[in-house]
Amino acid sequence: MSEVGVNNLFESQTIIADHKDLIHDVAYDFYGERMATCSSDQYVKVWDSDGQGGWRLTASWKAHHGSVWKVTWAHPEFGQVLATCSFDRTAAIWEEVGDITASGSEKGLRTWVKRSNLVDSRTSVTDLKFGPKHLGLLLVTCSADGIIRIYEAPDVMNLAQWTLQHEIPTKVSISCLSWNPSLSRVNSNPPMLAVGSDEPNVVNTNLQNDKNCNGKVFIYEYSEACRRWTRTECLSSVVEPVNDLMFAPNLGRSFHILAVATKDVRIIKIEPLPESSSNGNGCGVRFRSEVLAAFEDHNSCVWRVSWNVTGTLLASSGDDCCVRLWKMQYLNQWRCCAVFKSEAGGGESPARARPRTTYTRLAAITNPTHMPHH
Amino acid sequence: MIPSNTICVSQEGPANALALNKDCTQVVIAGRNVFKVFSIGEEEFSEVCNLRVGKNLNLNFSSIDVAWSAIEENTLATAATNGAVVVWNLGRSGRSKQEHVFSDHKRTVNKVSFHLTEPSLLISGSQDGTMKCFDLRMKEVARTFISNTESIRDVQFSPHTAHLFAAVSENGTVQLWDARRHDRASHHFTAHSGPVFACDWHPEVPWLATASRDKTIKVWDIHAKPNLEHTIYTIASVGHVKWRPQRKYQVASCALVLDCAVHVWDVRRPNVPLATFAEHRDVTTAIAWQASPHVFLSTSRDCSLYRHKFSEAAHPVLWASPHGVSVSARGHVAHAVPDTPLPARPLSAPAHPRPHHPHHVPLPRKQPTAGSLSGSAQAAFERLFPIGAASTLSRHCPISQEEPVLACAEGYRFHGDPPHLLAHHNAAVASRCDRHMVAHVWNVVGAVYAARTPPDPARAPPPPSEPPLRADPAPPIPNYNAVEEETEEESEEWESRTHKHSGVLGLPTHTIYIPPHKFAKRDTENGWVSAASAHYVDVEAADWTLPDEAFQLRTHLHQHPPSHSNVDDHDNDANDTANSSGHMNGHGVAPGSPGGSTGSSSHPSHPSGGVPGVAHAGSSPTLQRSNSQTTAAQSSEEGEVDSVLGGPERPGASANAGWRSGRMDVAPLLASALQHHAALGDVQTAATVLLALQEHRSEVLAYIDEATQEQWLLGYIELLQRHKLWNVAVQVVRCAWLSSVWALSHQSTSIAACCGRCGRRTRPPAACDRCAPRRTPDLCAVCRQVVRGLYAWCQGCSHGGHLHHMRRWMQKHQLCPAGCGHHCQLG
Repeated sequence: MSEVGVNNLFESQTIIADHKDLIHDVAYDFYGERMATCSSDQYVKVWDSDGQGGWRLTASWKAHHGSVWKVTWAHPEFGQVLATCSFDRTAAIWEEVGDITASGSEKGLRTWVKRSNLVDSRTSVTDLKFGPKHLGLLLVTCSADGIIRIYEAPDVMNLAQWTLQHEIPTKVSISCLSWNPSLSRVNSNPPMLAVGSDEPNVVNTNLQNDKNCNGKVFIYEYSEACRRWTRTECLSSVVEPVNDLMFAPNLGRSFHILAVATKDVRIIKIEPLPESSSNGNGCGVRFRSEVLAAFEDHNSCVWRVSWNVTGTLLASSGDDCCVRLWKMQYLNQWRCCAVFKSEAGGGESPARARPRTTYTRLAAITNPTHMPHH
Repeated sequence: MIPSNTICVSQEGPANALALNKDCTQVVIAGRNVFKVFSIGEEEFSEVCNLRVGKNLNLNFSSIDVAWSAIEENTLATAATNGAVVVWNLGRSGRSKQEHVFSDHKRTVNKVSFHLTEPSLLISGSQDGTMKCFDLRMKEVARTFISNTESIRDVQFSPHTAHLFAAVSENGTVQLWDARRHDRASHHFTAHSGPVFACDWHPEVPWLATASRDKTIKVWDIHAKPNLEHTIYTIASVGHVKWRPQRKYQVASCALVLDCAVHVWDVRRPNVPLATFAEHRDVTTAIAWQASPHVFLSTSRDCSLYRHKFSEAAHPVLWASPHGVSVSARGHVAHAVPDTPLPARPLSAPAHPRPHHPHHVPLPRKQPTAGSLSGSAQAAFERLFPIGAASTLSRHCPISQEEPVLACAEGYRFHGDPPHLLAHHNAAVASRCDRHMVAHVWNVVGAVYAARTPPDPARAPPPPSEPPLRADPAPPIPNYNAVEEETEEESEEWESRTHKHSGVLGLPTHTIYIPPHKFAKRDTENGWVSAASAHYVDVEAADWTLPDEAFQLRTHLHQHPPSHSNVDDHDNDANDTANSSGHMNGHGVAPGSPGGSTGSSSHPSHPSGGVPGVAHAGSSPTLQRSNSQTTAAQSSEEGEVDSVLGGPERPGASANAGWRSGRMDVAPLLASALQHHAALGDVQTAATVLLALQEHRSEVLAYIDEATQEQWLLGYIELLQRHKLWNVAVQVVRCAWLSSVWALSHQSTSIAACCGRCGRRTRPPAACDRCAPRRTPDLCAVCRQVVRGLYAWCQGCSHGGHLHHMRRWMQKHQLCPAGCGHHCQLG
């Protein structure tokens, strides 16, 4: 609470990525010192911070035979490991090997080696994420045909071997997923996944939806007892196609916060109910969900959401080509605290000379008592 | 959503090829077991005739390819698997329409193709590597073209130059022939790194598209010298390729394996299909545009013939996120945004009111996207698509570099002093970082606990005769209930055993209340309760500071799998050398708790005495008990064992504290304050206050269940690690009382050493078992003396020697001093 109003001055900088097609994902590593980008040009690029604010391209390689949708880092405990998924129906595990081959001018260029190729999907693999570290080296993928697959590397030293542990059919097209990053190993907190569907709503709804929940976000939990993943919740508050979702890092909150990118930015609080209220066989209500905020500032469609490490700041990106930063402020109100307008996103606007650096000052709350109450 | 396109299922078997007549009203499909002509209606296909009739159905009827003359209404040609080229005349009366069979090819014919303006010219390409030009009037082979390749996969006359035709072959080459000259090709070039399966001439410009197993489609400008114009990257071997009419840059393709869909590409954006038609359930075998850019037909190995409308295309690019955003651990925001955003996709799919065709089979839904765009939207999309291939990547980072949270993390202290002193220190740190709310919390903590300096064990009041009732104000935590209480009790009981330097047992021993009947039960074991108490009192009085070694272990380590320690037992100085196997658990044997430290100081002669020694050094009866459980016992089991000891003591402790301070018990308030901070994402305050109040843990923690404590500590540790504040993180691990937290210091702490000569694992400093007998001690490659102490070597050739010798050598030379010729890199 005490940090409101701090850090409202940002420096913006354009990086010449030199991807030949759209960049579909950007991912920082655990420390925020490396950045990976992936693009439809089938390339993955890795950028390293030089510590003084500059970023240097250290690797660039053709990773797939189709558009690379997502890129994600494994926890550094497992080494410098990336996973990518693609339109070519595969997911790949990459590991960085030192600059052994480098000599002379090429010194410093790193080589990434494909350790494994996961080819189980029959359709485009739309998202993938590494599991929380304490569960071992887990990777979950989802594909357009709606199958969630959970892989495990039984030997973390051998990234070439991945076993398919679970296949969860969902019957709807899945666009995104997120692990609950809860760090606790206590049994009351089983491994949990949230998945989002981008299935369009059918206008004449005479076919289905008779008894099923109409929501697009599902919560899956692993039950140690029956060794299965089961759908324990469907968030009925989200009924529009979901483009992205992400759990906030759970740093000892008694509830989970899920950000959902759909036609608006939505922040949903998911509170586990005590076991006693679920009636025995687990089919009782496990959670109480509550929409904390819904913002329609991005015009029609929000594409991505991303939390900071403490779950206090949410960045979202949408069709207006802006990044908006959202922060919880007094009385649990979520507020926009910054907007970054991409200079390039103007569509028809003529190309102008882009300044390399712009400064943005926004939404400084000078006096907290001036906050409007709703 | 099932697109209501026309579909026809042939029961006889899959078709390998299809061909349209010149006005595109009829289609012929041909395969190994099927050969039929359909007329194309708006809603349905209707069978016109079945050409696979007759008594002797020989291999001439099993077709690889079919062509329909663009001039003669009734003339068809098929390429048969047995090498025959068969000409059919639909105008013949009678059931058999077979007109003539050319049996000139030795092997399977892959392709037949009519000349576009000469009605009597037909060309074939065969597996035997030749192409033959047939004269249909003379019913003879006019010319034979020998390609000098193993097999011709496709051959097609150019629509631009009368006598030019292109042939592609399995060795990756494209040949351009003049039909009048059969001695050699006019052009010959290698187009792909794998077999080329198909080619197609652009209808307007002299472009040739070739499709290959190397998963690419290449577009060649054949104006003068063949020149590569575009390369399209697809996800599978490309089997067929067809230019879209009236769209200069668009070409349709289907794959030979793996991918069942038909993709339409814009050559200017070669990585993403413009449109996808995923209706087939097996790979598509042939495609043909129905003379317009809006409709095409396809056959598939799933035995179906399909008429696709372009308006029902799926557009994969609309479903891929064009944006990327990521927030780093440093608070930087990276953002990738398209330079020219495509129109937003509609959020709901339009309904299809038309009734489905009766032959309609349920189709698998492979793409959620079909038919999602209206006509005008699709036109706009097609226009914007090729220029939408650029993204801007930008970074937004906070200008103020130092994070107050990090400054606090480095400044905070949470052990070594009484809590009120720690709290005041930390309050000062927080207010220096302008975190006044946090400073306020610390000040409150300091004020509360200033009155309760660590209890002096000498003035221990007599034990209460019965467990006092808990002086417990209304619990402020809403979900606090009996269930939780039980779990936390258990955790505490357990931690009180595993961790002794503070907390419950840091309080005067009288607070350990043991019900008489349990006491009696336990008393059979040497009366160990009293022994333990005495021990703890001594420790509290004697030693308040923690040992300073890194990676200190709890005495709990005895539970670790004993294999390491056994290995090291005969290896007494294992921890002395830097390149030793360095089992940290063997190294940091001095336990982090005062009880343990006094114990280990009593055995100073065994600095690396191995784990079992430590367990004994702890010399607490409790530990010996646990040690006797030889397995790596789980906490649940032990918690049960010790519940007798610790179970009832917590209420006693908290009540006692309240009694001592003589005022309201602030613990529940404090607990809820910490939970409030955690809920706001400020795990630092929650975790550090918890750590600073370790001695009073029994009071505060009663209101925070173990899972939450664990979350806070682990969360804080992760936060510190993300910012590379390793030292602080290690301090937190050291001070933690939860097994799952301090066990972090036991993980991944072994270093494997390998013999430089044979690569086998060794147990330093002993030399490798295999190499040792045969090997003299390591000699310096420069001075040829035995190296004692630091041995520096090149990891490439494994030669080395004295560090200073090697350094000096490397200043002057690049090659290895041992003369092995390796370009050594030292350091």
